[in-house]
This record gives sequence, structure tokens and C-alpha cells, in this order.
Amino acid sequence: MKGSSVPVIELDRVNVSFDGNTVLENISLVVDPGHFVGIIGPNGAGKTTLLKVILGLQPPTSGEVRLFGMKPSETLKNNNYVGYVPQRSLLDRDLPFSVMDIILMGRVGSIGPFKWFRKSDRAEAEKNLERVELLDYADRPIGELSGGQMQRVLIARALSCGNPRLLILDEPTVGVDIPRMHGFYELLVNLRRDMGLTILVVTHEVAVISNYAHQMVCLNRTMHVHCNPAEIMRTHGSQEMSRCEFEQLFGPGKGQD
Amino acid sequence: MLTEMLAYDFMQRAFLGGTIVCLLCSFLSFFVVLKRLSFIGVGISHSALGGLALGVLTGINPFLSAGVFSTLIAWAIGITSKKGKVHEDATIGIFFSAAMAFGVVLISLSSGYKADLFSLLFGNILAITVEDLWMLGACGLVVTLFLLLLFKELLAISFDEEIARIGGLPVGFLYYGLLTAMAVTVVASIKVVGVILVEALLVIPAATGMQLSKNYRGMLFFSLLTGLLSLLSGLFLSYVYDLPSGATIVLCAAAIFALVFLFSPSKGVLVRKFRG
Repeated sequence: MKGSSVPVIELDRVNVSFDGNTVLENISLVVDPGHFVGIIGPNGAGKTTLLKVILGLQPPTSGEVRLFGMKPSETLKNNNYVGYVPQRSLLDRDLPFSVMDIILMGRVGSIGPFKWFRKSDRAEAEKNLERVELLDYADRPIGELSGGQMQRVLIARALSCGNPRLLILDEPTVGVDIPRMHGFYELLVNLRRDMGLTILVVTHEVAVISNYAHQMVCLNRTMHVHCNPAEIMRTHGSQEMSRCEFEQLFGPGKGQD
Repeated sequence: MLTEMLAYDFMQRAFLGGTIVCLLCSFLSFFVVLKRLSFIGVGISHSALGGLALGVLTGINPFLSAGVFSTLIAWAIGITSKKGKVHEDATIGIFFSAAMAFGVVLISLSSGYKADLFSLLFGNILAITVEDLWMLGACGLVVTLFLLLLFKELLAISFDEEIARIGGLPVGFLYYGLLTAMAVTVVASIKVVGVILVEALLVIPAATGMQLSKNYRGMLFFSLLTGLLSLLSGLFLSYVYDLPSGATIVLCAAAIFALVFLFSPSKGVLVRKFRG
């Protein structure tokens, strides 16, 4: 990894299209170390595609992507500092795995082939379970967890990637009530502070995340707004905002202006 | 009865070969069930018939040609469904029926081999030769080494392929490796259960294990146990009642699954019903 002055994420005029349909258009974005960034936008705005581009899972049609100053594919080849938390609904919780199994699986890439998990891997996993306040659940089958607990397990897995510097979360609070949502974001804020993480969260919950993020990115195929949360609230209702379908996102009476 | 059975050379070979095949299939079935590859297993096993027929017609060792042929079909199914615009289940349907049709046409061209078609389809465990045992041992060793050495990597792609990819694992290599292991295992199983019935051994053991255990280690243990019990009971019953051995082994496996499905202490349907 390069020095800490190198931006964690750099996108330069990134375009992505599938079969001639543009999904992301002319996206340029720089995320500095230690920042907490919220990516918001309506369904189908290309949020998940943007995450996949950053993670090197989706090569851009044109434009440049840098993750810690390198191409994502190079960064991820021996990845031990990017942790990803996918939408939890995509995972099959009927499979016979315990919480500890899931977290150890997050370390497989950093251990290398032909070796089994060591004691130190287990210790690291326990440390991360403690960070998300689920140490007592290590041996619990994942099928017995609540949605919120599963989400925190996935965070502990992401933190167990080796030497985490960047945490990326895709819609982590779907189906979570507002008080728990705040608890969840406070957990992220604490992790950012304690571990020096950079955090990128895709979400629908503008009103909640704007309390925690340093930077907000509003996406609807193209990037409409990229600023701090206070500004996003001030410009609420402007032409740019309406292009981003903000009314729909905020809902009536949720704005803070 | 058992001593009488084992006095025959061909029975000894059947037990040894059958045990290797059933344990190998049971181990592999662990990943087939976790990664939901059971339908791709149907595709791979049925297409082996095309490869067998090709070998018979060209004079190449039929097991070798079947191995290569079904590996290629397995990869083709994988590539077409990942890169193309056709759903995986449709792709499998197309490939395996076409490969089987190809096999049937070729077999009809080679007049002498028709009598053996039934044993290719449904197995003939009593015809296992010493050379077959060597072949089984070699296939078993290669597949087992692959599964053991990359166990945690295969486990990781079975639960969450995306995370595995982000973690820097060669997901494509592992996935196609698993498909290749399935093709090799199918070919090794032809004499024991045949190309039509091998699918049962690639699914039932692990499906049974999953009903009996809440963790993957237990699932793997019960999977191997189911495979072994199916072989022993199936071979014994087929000897006593003069039944086709491959089909009897598969029926025993299915019976074990049915019992476990109903009466498993943790997940059994009837057990849960009575507990309320």
C-alpha cells in the first residue's frame, strides 16, 4: 500500500454500459483516507454497479479506476485491506455455517492455499466479533440470527480481511427500524474512529446517513451532487436535486431545512 | 452370508470399487449441495454417454474419452451460462440432451456395443476389473487431493462467491475445478452406478448430511456415512435378492434420505410436527 496521502478511491470519468444502455455516466470521484461517504440515489441509479466498479468486479466501459492508487484488480489480487459487506438478503442462511465459520471465510484470501485456519485467525475473528458486540454468538448457526445480527456478522467478516483500511457496505440498513439504524451507523462511526477506516455506504436513508457522513454522493446514472451533508440539505429542492428524485428519497417532512 | 459373498473375487472388487466411488461421490456431493450444482451434475453425468460412445467408435479408451468429453461439456455449460444470455438451467437442458442424443446415434453406428448400453446407463458393479480399480483409485486420489487442499477456498466460494473474489481468490479456477472434479467422478462411477444414476450419489449423501447437522463438519461426516451405508446395504441386498446393484445402491441412499428427512432429531419433518 502507498502512503496515506494517496486517495483511497479515485474514479476519473468512468462510464459503464450494458448492451448499449448507459448505467453510469461520466463519474469522477475522489475519496480521501478516513472519510465516511454516503452514496444515495433511487433504485436503478447504478449504486451497486458503482460499488462493483470500485471493487474491480465490473470493469468500466471507459475511464480510470484507482483503489489505493492501483488498479482494483491489482489491489484485490492479494487483498487484505478492502472489506465488503454485501446486501444480506443475497446470502443463503440455511447453509450449515456458524458465525465463526462465516468470519473465518472472510480471511481465506489472506491465509493462502493449502493451509487451514490457524489460532491467530480465530483470535482475529473473535476480536472483530467483539467489535460488533457479538462475541457470545461465535458458535451460533447463522440461521438463528436476526437480520441486524447477521448484518453485524458480515461487518465482522469484512473487518477480518487482514488489515482493513476501506469498508464498503451495500444497503446495510434495509428492513431496519430507525432507532436501530442510528445504532448501526454509530457502530460504523466508532469503527472508523478506532480502526482508522474509510467507509463507503450505499443507502436509501438520506435523512439518517446525513447525520454521520462527511461526504454525500447523489447518483442517478450520472453523479448529480457530491458535497457535504449540510449542503445537500440546503440545496434540497433545487433542479439538480429533483433530477436525483430526492423528494422520493426523503419522503414528506423528512428534510432538515 | 457375508463370508460367502466375499469369497468371490468379483465381489471383493465390487466392494472395494464401490466403497471408493461412494465415498468420493459423497465428499463431492458436500460441495454440489452447498454450491447448488446438482442440476449441472445431471448435465455432466448424462453427457458422459456421448464421450463413452465416441471412445467405443474411435477405439480410444471409452473412460478416457468420456472423461474428456464430459469435462468439456461441463466447462461449456459453465461458460455459456456465465457469459451468455441463456439461463443456466436452460443451458444444461440443451447440452445434456444433445450430448446424450449424440451418444445414442454413435452407439447405433457401432453394432457390437449395444448390449453394453444398459450397463453404461445403470452400472455393472460386478464387472469391475483390477484395471478399473486402479483407474478408480487414481481418479479418487486426484479429486480428493483437490477437495482437501483447497477445502477452505471451495467452502468460501460456496457461501459467497463475490466475497471470495474480493478476497483475491481465483473463483473461476475453483469453480471450473469443481466442475472438472464432477466430470472425473462421474466417469469413475460409471461401472458402479452408471451415467443415469450417478447423480443420486452426487446429491443424496450431502442432502442427508444437511438434514442431520447444523454445521458443515457434521454435514460432511454424515454425507460420507450415508454414502458408505448406501453402498454396503445396496450391494448386500442386490446380492441376496438378485437385484441390479447400481439401482439398489441408489434406492438405499434414497431410503436413508427419506428416513432422515422424516425423523432427523433437529430438522425432521415429523419430529418438528410432534414437537409443535
